[in-house]
Amino acid sequence: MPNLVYHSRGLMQRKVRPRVLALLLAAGLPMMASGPTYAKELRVGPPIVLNPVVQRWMRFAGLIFRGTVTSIGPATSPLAGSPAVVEVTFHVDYGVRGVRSGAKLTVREWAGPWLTHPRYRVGERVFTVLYQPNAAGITSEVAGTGALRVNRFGNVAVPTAWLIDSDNEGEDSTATQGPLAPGTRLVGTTALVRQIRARPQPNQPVQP
Amino acid sequence: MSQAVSHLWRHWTRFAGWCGILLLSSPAFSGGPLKVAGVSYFNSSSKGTPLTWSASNVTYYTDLGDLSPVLKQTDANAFVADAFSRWTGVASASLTVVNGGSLAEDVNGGNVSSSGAGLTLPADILPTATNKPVAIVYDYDGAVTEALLGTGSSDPSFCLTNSTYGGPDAYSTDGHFVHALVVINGRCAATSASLADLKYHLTRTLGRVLGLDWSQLNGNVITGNPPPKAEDYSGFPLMHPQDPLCSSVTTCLRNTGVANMDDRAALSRLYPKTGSATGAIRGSVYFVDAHGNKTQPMQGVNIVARWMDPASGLTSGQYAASCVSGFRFRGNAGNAVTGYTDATGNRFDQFGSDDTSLEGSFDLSGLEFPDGRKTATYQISVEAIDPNFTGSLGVGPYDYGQVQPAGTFTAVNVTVNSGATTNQDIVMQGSAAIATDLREPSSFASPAPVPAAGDWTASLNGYGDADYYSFSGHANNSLSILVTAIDGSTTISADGTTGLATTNKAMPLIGIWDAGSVAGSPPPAFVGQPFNSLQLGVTRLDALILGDSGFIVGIADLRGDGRPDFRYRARIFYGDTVQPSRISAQGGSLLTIQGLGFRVGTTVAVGIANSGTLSVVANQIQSIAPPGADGVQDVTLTDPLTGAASVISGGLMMGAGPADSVILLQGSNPATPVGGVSQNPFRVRVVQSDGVTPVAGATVQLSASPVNVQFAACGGATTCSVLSGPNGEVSSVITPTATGTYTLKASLAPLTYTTPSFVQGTLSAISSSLIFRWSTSCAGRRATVHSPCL
Repeated sequence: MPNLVYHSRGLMQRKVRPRVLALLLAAGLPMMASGPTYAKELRVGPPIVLNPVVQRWMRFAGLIFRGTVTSIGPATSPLAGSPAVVEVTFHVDYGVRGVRSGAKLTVREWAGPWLTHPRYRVGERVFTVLYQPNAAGITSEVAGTGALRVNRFGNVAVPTAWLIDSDNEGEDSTATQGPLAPGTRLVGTTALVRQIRARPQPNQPVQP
Repeated sequence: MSQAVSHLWRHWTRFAGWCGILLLSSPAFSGGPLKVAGVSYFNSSSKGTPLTWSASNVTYYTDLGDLSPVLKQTDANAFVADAFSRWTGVASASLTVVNGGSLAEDVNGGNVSSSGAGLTLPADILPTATNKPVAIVYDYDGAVTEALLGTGSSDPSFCLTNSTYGGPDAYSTDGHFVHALVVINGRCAATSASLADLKYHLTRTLGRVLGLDWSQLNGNVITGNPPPKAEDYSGFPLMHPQDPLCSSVTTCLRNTGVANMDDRAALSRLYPKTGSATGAIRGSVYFVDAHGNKTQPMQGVNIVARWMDPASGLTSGQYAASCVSGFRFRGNAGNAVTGYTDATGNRFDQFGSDDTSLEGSFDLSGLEFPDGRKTATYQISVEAIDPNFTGSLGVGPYDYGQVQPAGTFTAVNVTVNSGATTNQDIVMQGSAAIATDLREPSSFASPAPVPAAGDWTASLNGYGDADYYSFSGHANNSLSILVTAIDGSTTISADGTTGLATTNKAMPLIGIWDAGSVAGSPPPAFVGQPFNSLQLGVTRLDALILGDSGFIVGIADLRGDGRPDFRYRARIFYGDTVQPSRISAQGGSLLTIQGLGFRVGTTVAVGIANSGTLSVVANQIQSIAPPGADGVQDVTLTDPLTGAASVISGGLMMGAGPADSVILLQGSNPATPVGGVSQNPFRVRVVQSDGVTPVAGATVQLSASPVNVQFAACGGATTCSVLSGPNGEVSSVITPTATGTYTLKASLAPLTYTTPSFVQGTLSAISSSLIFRWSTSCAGRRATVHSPCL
């Protein structure tokens, strides 16, 4: 995969003590950064089945992972007069396709979609499905679905439209101890990954 | 970002800047406009003005190639023109769109390339090509899409999202768009049957090009709750944020790319037409004080106006419009913790006004009169923006994170007259949930002292408010700072304050500065992501203090916002000192730990051993020390409920310290018969570094070489460790079990120190026959072996 930067740090464990370590000096005060922070994944709701349209999308994905955005910046080698390219670096804590758990992953995106809205924010925890990067290492979110939010238990807020017979009523409060955005359903990463890897069943309908 | 990288980026953007344009990312402002000029980059006279095309005139240029086998270039041009006409046909808007001709080339895989060196596009579709303000690319085989979005992105499977894309990519300093790029994926125009959906998507993309933001109205069309009626579909805005997953979206949404009333109203606000037969409702949303009076304007509330059908007396799903309050005000201007520029170095405040009088304002102009009369009644109601509508789906100014409105508002009916504006403010009752913020005033220059208990409730009240607190800490101690965003509910929490943890109000960030730091300097330690802990609504910073110092703790909202409903509970969990500072390695001593933010349930560990806790109050814990190893020990405090932890590094000395030593008090004896007891005990004392002060409770290891002796203090064993007594002494008589000369050794805490302090004595053991001969002269004294028999 050209132009992707992998720096495996051997961090295979997915349960990392949730903490942001900061160092203070009496004078000068250097800074420190945060690490991935997940508790044990909660089992959430009934089993899920991905809409076959979404399953088809997943087949095009070259990179699927759960991770934390660690930096965002311009690409290192924009050509004079060429369109801007943004580099986003993730710490991958759960690699599903194309990247290993524990790896540092840097991807490039054409800056066009960034011009109207921020795509990511440093520190954000996301479950992201990206196209296979092209020769310039450029990719983007499959179907423009955006990075799916990940809660503090590592569960993913999946659009209900992605799911068949999805019913998100009453299943979020106990799992999240808080509100869940309408139109999404919390799904355990493991369950979501299982569905991503599953073959679509021929009888599954396409909504609506 | 490295300086080199930053330089490259800035070089590129500056190039654009020379051309009088801006090419960078930032939040959108919604309820109508995609962007609103802010206080940087744009001319001051443009501040607060929605970005539009200058003179309401758009000129576009189309690709020289074909779009697809069924849409040759001429047909594609007509297709695009028809999509534009969906907007230019809005009667209440004054907008002219002109086809200026063709681009200089057929944009395709031959002139769009992605390689290891980067991305290359033809010059006349770049953001700098302002002489061709809107470039329409016909991506016949998807090669352009694959170059811009990644491998596989042009596949027809993605026509729902990738059939058309793009938008404005350059702005002038006088508040106008100067360039936009639109790419149409030809693989989504492969058949005639696919063209209806493509037209729909293209019309939406052109809406963005014209400066329209996404809009939230009749959300039940997507959610199905309540089940949508035909009129709900008819009023569902074309510029809704996200399409459902449908094999044919035009069928699902019953819309082939037609601007509904909300779209028409939004466009008419950007490009108003004089004499338009529409009416307007304008006003502002407000918080209230305890007396119900208006206070601070409230941003981010979706205001919905629905026509009331005089025939039925019911509100209409079809004739409705919406606007997000504060749409002209900034939604993210940065904050004191993470700064005021985005990841690419551009200021957040380039978009959105800083005029707080606009913070709650809304504009529901473009209201129509469906029955042809000159007057109508519209019902005004409020709703929260879907929390999902952030980032690329953002609706309204809070696209970094929506805020749940505070209080309630009962819908009101407002009479609207054609050509006139009706003023209607919205006062959110019950939004004054907070009492006076007792922690104010505070500023970076004059931070408020951290309350004695280390646990307090306050608010980020007033736009841009950030709270600062002073605090002192000891070197090498660590601490946790927790800030919980809470709502305005009256539920009483465990600490007696009201409010429930939430992620839909303030998005707290925490920074720590050294006391005396320059205001505005970046904090050396901070949390840049709100809600980073495992507890709902809690942001937590864990820090290690490397030098005795005073500190400033700063708390700010991610968006730099401040409102009466941005309440938080803060807590500093910090262990400061332990008394006594020195105890026996045996444990059992009563420890008194001073600090901040302690709660029942806080656990104490000395070294690696848990300590029994007797009592906990906010500033003090009393605990019984466990047995432990000699030496300097950390005392670790943990709050299992929150994961907060504080380590008093080296806070406790147990037993022998590193500077202590052992001195010999008695180490010699006359010859002692085998099996007999030494006349003198082997006696040592543990003292501090002054050589005098005795150390009690220190571990002393007794041993001999050869090993054929028994220490009485060891219960007859050949070696053991004992603790020094109150006078620092260890004493033991010795019984040799074989003849010879023995070296007696007392080592101070050898398991702790690799080169422990030690002293040595000697003992000479003689045979029992000698004892017998010798003892005849000492008959009757063998039983009193502790006394010398001379």
